[in-house]
Amino acid sequence: MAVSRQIRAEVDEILPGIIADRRWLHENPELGFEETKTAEFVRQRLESLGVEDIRTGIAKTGVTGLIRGTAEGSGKTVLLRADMDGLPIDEENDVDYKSQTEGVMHACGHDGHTAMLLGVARLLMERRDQFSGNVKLLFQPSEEAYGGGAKPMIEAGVLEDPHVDAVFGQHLLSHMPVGTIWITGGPVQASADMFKIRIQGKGGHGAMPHGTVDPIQIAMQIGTALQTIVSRNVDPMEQVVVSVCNIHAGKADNVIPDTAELGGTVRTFTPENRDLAERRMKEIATGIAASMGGSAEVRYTRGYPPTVNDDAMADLVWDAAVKVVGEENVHKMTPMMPAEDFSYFLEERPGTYFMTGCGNEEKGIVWPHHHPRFDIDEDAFQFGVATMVQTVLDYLGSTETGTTNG
Amino acid sequence: MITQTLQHDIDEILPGVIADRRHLHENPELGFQEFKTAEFVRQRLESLGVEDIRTGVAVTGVTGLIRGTGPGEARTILVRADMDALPIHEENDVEYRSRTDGVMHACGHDAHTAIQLAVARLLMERRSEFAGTVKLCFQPAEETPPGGAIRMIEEGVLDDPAVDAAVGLHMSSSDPTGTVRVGGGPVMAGGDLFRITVKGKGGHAASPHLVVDPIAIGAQIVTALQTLVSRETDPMATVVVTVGMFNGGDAFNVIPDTVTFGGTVRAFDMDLLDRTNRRIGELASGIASSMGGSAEVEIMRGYPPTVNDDAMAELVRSAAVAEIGEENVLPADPKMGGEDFSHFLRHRPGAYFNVGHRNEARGITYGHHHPRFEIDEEALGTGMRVMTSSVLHYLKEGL
Repeated sequence: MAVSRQIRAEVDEILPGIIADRRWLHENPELGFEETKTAEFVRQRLESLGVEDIRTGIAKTGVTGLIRGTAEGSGKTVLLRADMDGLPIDEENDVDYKSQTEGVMHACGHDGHTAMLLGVARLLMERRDQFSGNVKLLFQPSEEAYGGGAKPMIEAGVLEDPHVDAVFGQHLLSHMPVGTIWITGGPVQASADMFKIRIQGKGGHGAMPHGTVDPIQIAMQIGTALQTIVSRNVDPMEQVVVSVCNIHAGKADNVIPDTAELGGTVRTFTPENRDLAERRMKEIATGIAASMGGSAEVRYTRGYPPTVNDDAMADLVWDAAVKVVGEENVHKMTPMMPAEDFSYFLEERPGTYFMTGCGNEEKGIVWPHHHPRFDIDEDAFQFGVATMVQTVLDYLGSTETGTTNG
Repeated sequence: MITQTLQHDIDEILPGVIADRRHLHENPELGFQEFKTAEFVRQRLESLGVEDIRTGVAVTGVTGLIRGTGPGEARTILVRADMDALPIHEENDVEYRSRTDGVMHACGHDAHTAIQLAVARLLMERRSEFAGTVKLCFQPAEETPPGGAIRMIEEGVLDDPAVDAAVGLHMSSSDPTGTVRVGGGPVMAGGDLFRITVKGKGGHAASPHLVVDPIAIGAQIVTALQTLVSRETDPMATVVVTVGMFNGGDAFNVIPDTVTFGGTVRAFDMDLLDRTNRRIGELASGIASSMGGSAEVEIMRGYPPTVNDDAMAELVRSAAVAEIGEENVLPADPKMGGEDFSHFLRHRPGAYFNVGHRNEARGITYGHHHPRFEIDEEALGTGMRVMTSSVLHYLKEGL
């Protein structure tokens, strides 16, 4: 507890700097894989802090750096990740630090994530004698854009040299009040897959349906039958969404078209349900199309996998957060349907992704993420930074806490 | 300390408890017909010295009071066991096999009743340790909605003296002997039944243009019902809509006048149950009228969701941890089945917990309601221990 109070005091001291960094980043948002100014800003900060082994240009604009602990101990390596990209949204906030780039805005809080991780780096540099092993700082491009920056960074080897043992990340959350932290073991965010179903019928005159194989009818039947994946195939205690979001067929009012196309998204929290949904979709589409004399081709594209926290690591972060904000402000997080590419890190290594409340009704900070009026209560930074620092110290702080038992 | 004497006393009376359970198992009775069972319970309570014994509550229910003589705040806790058996023909080859053809204790209510008689005995011996009152409630007809619980409540079982909290237990064939399972929030689903009658206009199968085909309407309704789950319910919430029967027509070449189909709705949240029932009605009548027919929807309310009070669940959990060790106390694992202890929980804070009785080595692995369902009787001791300790904790310390 004493350690934590000290961390909080030090965070208070550097908070104005973290806020200034965040505002600079907010004024200068960049889209995914285009974060060149942001990456250069991060590089300079890390260099001036004395962070070692700074590498840039990973997956285009990603940056990593290393803080080596000087204490005796397990010598493990923990990776901390922040995402850096803005969104193609035109900011509607009337603030000093409003985006200076029209049509681009930090509307998801990644400016806060990046500034907080720089604050974490500063505090950990000052505490190198209190932990053994390494802290790998990772600034990731393009969490928002399809494909994402996490996967190419992993492919570029960020989980090795030195070998990473555990991964942690956090996300600011505007619908949760500032001063609260939200954590749970197991699945926390869903996978996000896309599908296109292309139905091949046989077109013809609208007045003579008997000579055709009507792809619109096939599409309707498939769209209806897809509902049964959720209502009949998935365990009712588990959560899956299958949404048909677009449907296109034909151009004329009196012509039965040759083809029809359905598209949409599938969200799941487990690899098993993900496989189930993909398999059932293919069976339903091809089976129904064949039964009606046509054919269907399903293009199922996997997006971000489900974000699944390690139970022991979640407990570790939970305990760290309790030290920072008190038990009454640490809450069990309810899994969310939006996806997150930190999931790729969690597929490779045990770790935890937690949520830091940044909403404040009194200050009017109530707008949801991705909204042109999204904003952050900057008081949240102290809690996010202190929780992350405490987590690292608890994980790397001694041989005892260097285990996943926390 | 308490723990050691409790275990000692349980070891001593366990053979008698097993004998009670076997007597009940040999003499199973269906819901609201538990006359012999109730008389057995009454006699046992009387010989224990339980006060204010009332019989014939909700036909066959029995209640009794244990009044504490110790110091402290006087609270009243209701402890409930269900007594009814099922219309199943037992296939177990045991000495104490059901003597009534076609009726069997295949859900463990024999064990619930025997455990509660033992809990009564243990608490009678400890009256000096607590103030307040234990109300023992032996309930008829848990298996057949609307069930015995709501009727006992209507007849005033929660008053005179006023009940402050309620606890109940259920044997669980999916957890091993020696464990209990408890947690706050929803633990069992609520379930209602629906029956939809579609009226069309029958006629010759070769002249469909002259009829309103109720089978085609019914098929559309069943298909559309799927979207109540897949499109209308928050994906983070849990609801099941299942059509379990569909009947219409008798001939190959006649389009019938009507079809009838029905099924069940399950959810952990009363509002969600209500909303889903309402939407079934709207979908059915809307689709039917769009196709020139009509639909009548009948909802038969079953049991509401069983929702444990967080504080009461924590009380039972910590009593269980003290008695049988943390490693034997499992977290809640909500199930889709229904249970009418839920009615007590809608009126009073309480907790419903599971007592594991699975024993693979002894071949005790059959699920509830199976003709070969059996109980590892070692588990009776676990149930007695955790229930007795929970009641004592509540009466001594409150919530």
